[in-house]
Amino acid sequence: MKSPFFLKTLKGKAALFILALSLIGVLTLAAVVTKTTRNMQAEFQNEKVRLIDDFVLRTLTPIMLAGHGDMMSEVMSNYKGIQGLEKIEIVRVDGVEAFTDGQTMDKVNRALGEKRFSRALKSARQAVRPDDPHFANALATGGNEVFTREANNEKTVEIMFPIINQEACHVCHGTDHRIRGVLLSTFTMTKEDRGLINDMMLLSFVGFIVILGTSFGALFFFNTMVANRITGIIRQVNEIVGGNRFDLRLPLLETGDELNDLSTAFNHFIASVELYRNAEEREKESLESTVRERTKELQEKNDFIEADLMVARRIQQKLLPEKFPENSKMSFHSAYLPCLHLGGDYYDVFEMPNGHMGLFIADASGHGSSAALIVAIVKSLLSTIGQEIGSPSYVVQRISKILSRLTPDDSFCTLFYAVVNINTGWMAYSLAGHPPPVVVNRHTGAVRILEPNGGLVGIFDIDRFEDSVFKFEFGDRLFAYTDGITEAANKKRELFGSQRLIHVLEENRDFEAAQVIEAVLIAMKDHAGDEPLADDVALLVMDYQSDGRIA
Amino acid sequence: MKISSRTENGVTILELLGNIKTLGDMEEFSSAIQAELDQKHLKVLLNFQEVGFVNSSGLGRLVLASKKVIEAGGVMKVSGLAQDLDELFTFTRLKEKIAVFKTEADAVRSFQ
Repeated sequence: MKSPFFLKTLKGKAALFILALSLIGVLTLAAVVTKTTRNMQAEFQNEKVRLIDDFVLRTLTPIMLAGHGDMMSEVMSNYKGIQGLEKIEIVRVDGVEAFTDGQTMDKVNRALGEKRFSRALKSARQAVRPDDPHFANALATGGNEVFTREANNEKTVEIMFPIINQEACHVCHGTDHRIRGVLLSTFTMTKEDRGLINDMMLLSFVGFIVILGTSFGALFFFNTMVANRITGIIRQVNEIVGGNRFDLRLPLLETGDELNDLSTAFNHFIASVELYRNAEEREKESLESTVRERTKELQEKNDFIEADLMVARRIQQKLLPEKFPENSKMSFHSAYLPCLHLGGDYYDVFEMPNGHMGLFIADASGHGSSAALIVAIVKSLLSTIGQEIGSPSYVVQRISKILSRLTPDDSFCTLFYAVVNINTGWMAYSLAGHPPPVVVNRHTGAVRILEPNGGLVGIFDIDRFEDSVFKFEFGDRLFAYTDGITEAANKKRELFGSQRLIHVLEENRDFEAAQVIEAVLIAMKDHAGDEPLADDVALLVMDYQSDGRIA
Repeated sequence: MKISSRTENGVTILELLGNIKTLGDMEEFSSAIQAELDQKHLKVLLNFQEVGFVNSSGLGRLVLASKKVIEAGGVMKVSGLAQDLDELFTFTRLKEKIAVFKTEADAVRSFQ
């Protein structure tokens, strides 16, 4: 069950508790005062009844029994012995006061045989209404009726004391009525009595004020000494935790009470958190510094390797021809894009004896430094073997044999090696495991693709390489490349492929070789999009044109 | 890449899935071949149906695998080459060294 909001706080609970306590106090006080007042009133009445009883027994009855009616009247009218007695009178069963009409007096005197009652006659007076319930009750039961009447802001206590028709009275009163009437006495409260009751009222009022004062005092004390201090502690702890200020502490009072102990306990807790966080901070700093050191070391190593690779790259660039041989019929262009610092592709063009030109393009398996080492071996082999007299297949065969010995079992290279007669345009070539070069005629648009005639170089111990021949026509453009171009893939893993390459070459056949190379590279990059190059790319273009003489 | 092995009519068929491109691919491929040779499985068929791309290093490993199978006295054949790979096998003349079949069933039959 959900408590009302004001009961959620200690203050609310304390206020409710004290309110309830005050209410109980006030109700108890009221009950006590009421009861006491009632008791006092009852005591007052009882005392009067006792006095009247005593008066009747000791005074009235003897007078009546002695037949001294006149004395009785006298005694009654003048009797002031009872404190607070306002009046006392004898009332007959019809409510008329006795002894005040002449008829009764005469009757009494006649019955007595002498004139006993001589006082002046008065007219009959109705003392009590015959239908008064107290009066009727007293006549019917014969018991005392004691009750309070209030008139003119004055409280009076009235006692109706029935007068029994005893044997001694039968002479005058006969036996028809058991009760002859009542003795009606009326009392008013004296000043002392009222004072006592007023004192009780005052006492209750003062008690009420005292209870209220004590309650509010207790509430104020609780709020100041307990609730407000707890709220303060909570606020300060929140400030410390929320503001991450574990170097701060809660203020302590000199008088060490329980709340002070609570603050001390909090301070211990905050101190241990501070200790823990400091240790954590130090550990973090130490970790960061270690990471910084390691990063620096790695960076230095990386820089070293980088610098080393840059040197290697410059060396490798030296392996590639700085410029191509020139003659009236042939012109060469190339491009080289290694995918790492070092490339596994290589090409060369060199003049050979008797008007021949050597063309070479190779691609070592893998890429990076391992491929670069194979390329360096191939280059040195070509420089030595290539100078020997022999067909391209012979050179390739020699290279393959040596390479298979020098390199790991799964390393190889692919290559295209051609020897072209500059004048006649006849070419002998070995195309070993390499993507077939494309020849596009710039005049006619005819496309010819060279036939492969050998497998991978340097991987099989015994292998056979062959030569093929091909005749260039004027306007022919030879386009030799490595598979980095055709295997450039886009996000969908679609390769650029030889068909796209041939299409670009055909489309751009009117442009100069350098522009065609640019067009090929742009088409390849457009195809690959954001995908990086996965392999090295090398292109070698030869334009074969007429020198104006008849070949 | 993923490689799964099964036997059909005494022929061990290695189904290759993915590319042969990274050093990890190659190590996986080489050890799969070695595992078959260790168990004297000498009729090995590589199903390339689900292979996308093989780079030059991958090609080197393939040749090496073939050499090892031959050295062990066995035969290694290949089936299911995609068009690009078929072209590669053609101009590298690997088809002269490693028998290539269009379908796995053809290749399995050729072992009998």
